This record gives sequence, C-alpha cells and structure tokens, in this order.
Amino acid sequence: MPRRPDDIHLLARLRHPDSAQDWLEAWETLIREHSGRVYGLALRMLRHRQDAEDATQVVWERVLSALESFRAEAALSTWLFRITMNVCLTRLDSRKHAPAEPPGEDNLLDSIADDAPDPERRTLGRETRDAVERAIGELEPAFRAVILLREVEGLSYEEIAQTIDVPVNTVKTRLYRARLDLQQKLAAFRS
Amino acid sequence: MNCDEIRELLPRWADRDEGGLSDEERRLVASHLETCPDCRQALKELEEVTSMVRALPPIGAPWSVEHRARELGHFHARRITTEPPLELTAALRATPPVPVLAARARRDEVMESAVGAAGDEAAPAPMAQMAAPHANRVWVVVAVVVAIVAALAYWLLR
Repeated sequence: MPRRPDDIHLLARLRHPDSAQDWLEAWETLIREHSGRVYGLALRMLRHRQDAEDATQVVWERVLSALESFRAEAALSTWLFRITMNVCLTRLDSRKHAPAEPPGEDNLLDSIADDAPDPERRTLGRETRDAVERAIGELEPAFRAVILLREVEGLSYEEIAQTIDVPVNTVKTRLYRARLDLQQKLAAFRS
Repeated sequence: MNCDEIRELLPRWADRDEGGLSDEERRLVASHLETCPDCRQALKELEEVTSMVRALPPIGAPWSVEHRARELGHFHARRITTEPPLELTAALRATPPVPVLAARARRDEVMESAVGAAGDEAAPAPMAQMAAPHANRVWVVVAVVVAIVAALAYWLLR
C-alpha cells in the first residue's frame, strides 16, 4: 500500500502543528478516516464488541505516544494495523490465560449487522455473511490475522509481514493454511 | 507434480503475480490444471471462498469509539497547550544550585519571563503559550515554589 500524500501531510500536522487547533483538526481527520478500519479489524480479531472498543482506544493511545517515532516508511494505515494487531494478539493471548468468559459469537454477528455503514455494500446475504464471519472466527488467531489483513484489508504479503512482524515466507505459509481451513469450514455451508 | 503438490501451490497461483510462483511453477500448475478436473474444481472452490471473504462488508466504528478517541485528542491538546515554553524549562534545568541572592534574582527572572510571555501579544506565540490562563497559573505556582525554596535556604544559611 503506497504512502499517500494526504497521510504524509496529516502526520506532519500532528507532529508539528501550526497551532493547537491545527493539531486537533488533524487528529479529528485521523480518527474520521481510520477509526472504522481499526475498529473493524479489532472486532473481527477479538470477536467481542466491548473488547474491540477498548482495544481501539488503546490503539489511539499508542498512536499518540508513538507519533514522533513513526518514520513513515510504511503507509499510515499499515502502521495503524500493526499497532491494532499487537493490541489484539496481546489481548487474545491474555484471554488464553483467563478463559473464564469466552466472548460470545452472537455478540459479534449482531455488531456487524448493526455497524455495517452502507447497506449497498452488503453484497453477501445475511446467512452467508454469518457463515463466513463464523468460519473466520474459528481460525487460529495467527491465521485469522493474515486472512483479515490479506482478504479484507487488501494488504500485500510484504505489508502483512511488516504488520505482524514475521518473514514473508511465514505469511505465505499461514495464508495457505488459513485458506485451506476456511475452505473446509465453509464446505458444508457451500454444499 | 501430483495433485497434492499442485494444490499446495494453488493459493499462491490464485494470488497471481504476488503469489511469487516461479515461472517453472506457473508452467507446471497451468499445464496440470488443463488436464485435471479435480484440481480445477479445487481452484474454483478456493477462489469462491476467497471472494466471499473479500465481499464482507466494512464495519463502521460506533459513535462511542470515535467519541472516546476525540476525547483523547482534546485531552492531549490541552496538555500540549499547558506545557511550559521549552527555552524556559531548559534554562531552569541548566541552572546549578545557587546561593540565596542568586535564587532571588532567578525568581524575579522567572516571574518576568512568565509575565512577558503571557502579555506580549506581538511576539510569535508558540503552542506552549496558547492557553494563557493555564500557562499563567503554572508560572505563578513555579514562582511561589522558587520563592519558598529561596526563603528556606536563606533561613538555613543565615
């Protein structure tokens, strides 16, 4: 994903604003343009609405503290996805150690139905969409991450590697396994 | 190559150029697909699943998510507008411990700087000075602390 001039300009304003008002406007733009994708990725990773909201807030807190260190070698969205994935995978890992209340699947599916902003883009029927979301949710987190970054967010292999901090070959292997798993999980539904 | 080996390559074949197959692997997969209906079916299923995932609708952030993020931004903006001017904090940090009279002089200097920064409208206003009421309050506190320290030091050294 190439770096967009708008993103570079936005980052410059966040780092060296002309005024406090200028900084605040740049922040609002960042939130407006990216919070949907950050929250969407968190929701699909964590499968729980409240958890995804909290994770998104943590992402913005980390963005604030890391603004100065971001070198703009990657696209802004890739950097945001990297932070989001870090936050989500850490949360999923801590859930493993405290699995007292696993998040309910219905919670996520209801959220997606409620939150989908543009009915025109709901090209899948509700039943199909639920089946696909459920199948993705059943994947191992590491596989879920690569499928979401590749197929939903449209990142390249290289960007996925940067986002989850693994070699490109690992991305290829995980994608292969993830697609195979998905195919198997959806086989019954498709037949 | 047999069917199992070909099927391992199919996901990368489906990703076209980005899949990173070598020319030789591409040639092998293409020729195998021409003659193997089972692998063609496997490729079709793979592409169907991939396109189903790609067709998932985007998720919009609920109002509460954006609201919390905006609040965070406002909180941060308030913080950066109440930080003391950089040149003044640097000067304070660089100042070694001083005797009482010098400390008194320093206190006066700080007070003058603070009053000057808030009152000089012609001077370019760095972000740190934009919230003048907050900045003034900070400088008054700094001046009071310096005065107390100076008085204590004077009383002890007398």
